[in-house]
Amino acid sequence: MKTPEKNTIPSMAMIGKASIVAAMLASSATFAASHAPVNVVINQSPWLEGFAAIADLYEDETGNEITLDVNPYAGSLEKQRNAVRSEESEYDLLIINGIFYPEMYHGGFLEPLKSIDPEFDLDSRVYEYGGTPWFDSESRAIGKEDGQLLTVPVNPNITLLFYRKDLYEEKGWEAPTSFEQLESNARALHNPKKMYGIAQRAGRATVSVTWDFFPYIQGFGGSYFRDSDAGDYFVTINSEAAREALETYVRLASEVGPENPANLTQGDLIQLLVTGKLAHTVLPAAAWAQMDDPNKSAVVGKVGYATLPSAEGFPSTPALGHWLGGIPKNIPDEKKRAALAFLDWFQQPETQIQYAEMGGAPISAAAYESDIADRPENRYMKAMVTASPLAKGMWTIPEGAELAAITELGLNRAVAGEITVTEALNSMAADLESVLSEAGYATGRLPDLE
Amino acid sequence: MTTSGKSRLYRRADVFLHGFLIAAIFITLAPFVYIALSSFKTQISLLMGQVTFTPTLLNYDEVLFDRTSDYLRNFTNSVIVTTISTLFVVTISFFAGYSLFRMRWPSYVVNTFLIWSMAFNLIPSVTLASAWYDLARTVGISNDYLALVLAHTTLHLPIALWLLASFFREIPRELEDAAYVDGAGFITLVRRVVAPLMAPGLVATAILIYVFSWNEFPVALALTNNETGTVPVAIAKYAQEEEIKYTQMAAASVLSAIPALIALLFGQRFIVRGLTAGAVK
Amino acid sequence: MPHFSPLGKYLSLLPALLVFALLALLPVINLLITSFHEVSWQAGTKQMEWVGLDNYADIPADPLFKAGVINTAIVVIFATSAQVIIGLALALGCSALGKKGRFYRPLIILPLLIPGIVIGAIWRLMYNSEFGVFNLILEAVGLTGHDWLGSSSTALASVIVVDIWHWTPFAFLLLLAAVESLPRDVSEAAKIDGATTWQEFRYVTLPLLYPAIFMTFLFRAVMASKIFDEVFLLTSGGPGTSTEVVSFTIFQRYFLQDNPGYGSALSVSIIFVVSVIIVIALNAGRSRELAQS
Repeated sequence: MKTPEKNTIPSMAMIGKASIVAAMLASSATFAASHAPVNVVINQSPWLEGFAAIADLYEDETGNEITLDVNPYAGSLEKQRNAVRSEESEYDLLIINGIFYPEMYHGGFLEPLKSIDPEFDLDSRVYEYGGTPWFDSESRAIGKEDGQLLTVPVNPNITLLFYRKDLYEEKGWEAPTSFEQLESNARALHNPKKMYGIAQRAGRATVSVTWDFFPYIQGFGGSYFRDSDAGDYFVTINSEAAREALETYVRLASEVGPENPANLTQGDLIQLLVTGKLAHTVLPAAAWAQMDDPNKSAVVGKVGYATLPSAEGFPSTPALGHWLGGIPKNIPDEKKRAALAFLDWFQQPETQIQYAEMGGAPISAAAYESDIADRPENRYMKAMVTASPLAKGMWTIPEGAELAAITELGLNRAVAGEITVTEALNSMAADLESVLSEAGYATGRLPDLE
Repeated sequence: MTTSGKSRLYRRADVFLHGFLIAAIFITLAPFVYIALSSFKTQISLLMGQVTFTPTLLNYDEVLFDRTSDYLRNFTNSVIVTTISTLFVVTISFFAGYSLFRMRWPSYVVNTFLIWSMAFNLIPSVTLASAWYDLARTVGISNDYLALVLAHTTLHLPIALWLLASFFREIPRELEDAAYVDGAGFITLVRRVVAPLMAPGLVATAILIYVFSWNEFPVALALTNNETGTVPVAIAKYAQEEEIKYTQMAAASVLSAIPALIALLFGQRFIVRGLTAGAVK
Repeated sequence: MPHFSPLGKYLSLLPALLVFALLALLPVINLLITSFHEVSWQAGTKQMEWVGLDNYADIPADPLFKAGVINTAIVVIFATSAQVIIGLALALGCSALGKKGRFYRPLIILPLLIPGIVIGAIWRLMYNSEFGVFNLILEAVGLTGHDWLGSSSTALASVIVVDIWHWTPFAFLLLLAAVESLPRDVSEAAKIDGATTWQEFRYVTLPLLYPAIFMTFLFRAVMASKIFDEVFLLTSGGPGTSTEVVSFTIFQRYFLQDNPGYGSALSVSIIFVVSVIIVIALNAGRSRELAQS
């Protein structure tokens, strides 16, 4: 195992943890399996291979058994929901998507990690992903200050700007940091049928256009809700800033994008990009793996990555699409301890660096700041260092799917030109407010835009 | 009309019929050929819309031998679940149909049965899947073949019953009566008279039920794990969060369809005989 | 003449009865009960709050459901009619060729062998406006391509085309079985009477096939009213609500939004409405048979 001395300044807590791990490793050399087998529910994905490899490494090092129950992406929520709602969950570790963790948190399905082991804490180098690992079941808000630690991040998926670095180098440009720059660069490279300036999702799905539009509304200084992280669901989607953001989004889609942008999905964006027909797009970081694979891409080595642009005076805000590892309440204590032992081993800086080397998707700054990130094939990691701490989640309540259904439809119709930007924002605001107030939240909305 | 004139007329009609069927086959097969060709392409070649390409076996390699894929097991699972559940469905629905349609139940019993099974057929699978999952967990058979076999049997029994109903109704009662007069028992009656008369219906039903069960996804997803997962569950894994692995999906579909295709080609004499057996009357 | 033992009568129905009672009735009762409740989860336990008919009262105002009902009706009518007509033509054609027509039969059935999820993914690719095979062909012959799934005017029609491709073999198989079971002597008799092929078809074959055609239509209509797989991967109900279908709305409400109460109410209503339609259709079909005999 590589020693990480040059990238880590371990805190006291971490030294404690590290020594426990070291002790575990040492003991495992002589004794087999110190823990019960752990059954992990996970979905098929480009990062599964890396995760399976790191699970194998854990088995080799500790003698503890990990089995992965691999499901289709479309089935991961159903499998987990069924498991936590039954008498006894068949899974000991849930790999939870950034879309449905609120359901797991609010429903009280997860065991707080400190009640399994009071000593346990998140490693200081692990990114906090907008405070989403912590949840306060009283105030129903996420965040480190008041929340209990319920999960450990296991995958760092957030949105990044994917752009054609080779074309940028030809022109002598730097990656855009403002929407203005992005728009003018997209216009300059737009050459319909051969090359589109920019394409972003506007297709309707569970959470699609809502997620892609999020960096825009935030980047212009607006927000969907006043302060959703703190549990304040006053609707602010119909603000002036939101209008500016949506106008920009629609303008980019209709003027420098492919025809009929209203049905674009993530698959379409990737198709356009890898076939060399697209200059800019916004994709989850995990899609980087396809860009440099000659079997999947005609633009090997030509794609660059950057954090999302923002308007003057506002921070870049990538959208969280990360995955969290949580332990269900309805399993025996020994299973809980076994699952936590694996999570603890997984989050350690040295494991994370190894994970990166194996082609995995690490969640710790230790990996992203290591020299692995200097390799040309890992250039996305540089963007992740900037983007990861800035990333935010859209909402943290179980009604999220209902809210998303409203915004998906409204934003989709605005991009399709079925309704105007102002109409879209006003009607979405009214619908969001009614869903929230019906669900019993203290809510309200800004006055209608004129 | 002379014999030669008749055959000339037939020949002209035949040419027209062949032309029509060939056109239909072309439309039917074109997407299938597209799927089959896709399975030999790389993802980028497919996405670029390349017409000429160097065939690759990468997709088959990934589907069959990748460490995150377990296709052969999925395939075996599918064969087991589909075969057993189809046998169950056809047998149960045959006897139920025989009882309902030939044994003079009051018409409200027959109608209740039929309407109920049609109504059941209308329930979206999502709602059934979670209820069956709870049931299977309670009885302790979740993730076993048995759970999925029973679920598929339940799911497809209504269709089979309806399909067989129309065939049962067409059996002339005199044939049964004649057999009865000859002193045939229940078993003999079924074996010698009813089953042969029903053969076309039974074969068509069995084929359809087999196909439904083979392709069923939502319930199979809920009731299986990696040990017992079926082919559609395996194929669905190629539709991922960030990418649809079209070419791997195509390869998996081809592999899934090949055995059935071979069975259809070689078994078609039997199928046709089954389908035409009723023509005796 | 009761030439069967009552025991046999009950015994042969018993397995089906057991399956229906144990495995089918339970989920349905569960569905019915759930539809009168608001379900939520707190501290890992289920909370069921009785809300009476509230869930049902919400249905008329549901914009997705409204669009879904209309689109589903369109799919059912157009897709099913096309499948029955094409399926019947193919069945008659295959049957008329006798042994020479054998070759076609397994090939026609082929689309049934492909799982719905693959059909959705592959057709989406073929419809793709940039790389799709349809637009490549159109552009090759000098026409301009079209974004089939991306524009509201063609999205639903594109979905229907896929459904026709996928399910015509089903109609074919059922109708072929019916055509092959037709008594030959009737058609011989018609020939001797000097009937033309068309007359024979119109006045002899077709009336004999009515029950089978009716059943095939009913079957496909019921299955088409549940259309899901194709829509899920092709369009997810978009653009806008132009391809929203009922089963997709139920999936969204019941599963994605985790609102089992309302989702169950939607399911129950649909089951009720379609059952009523079926009963009416069956009665109409039966009185027609009576009128003919």
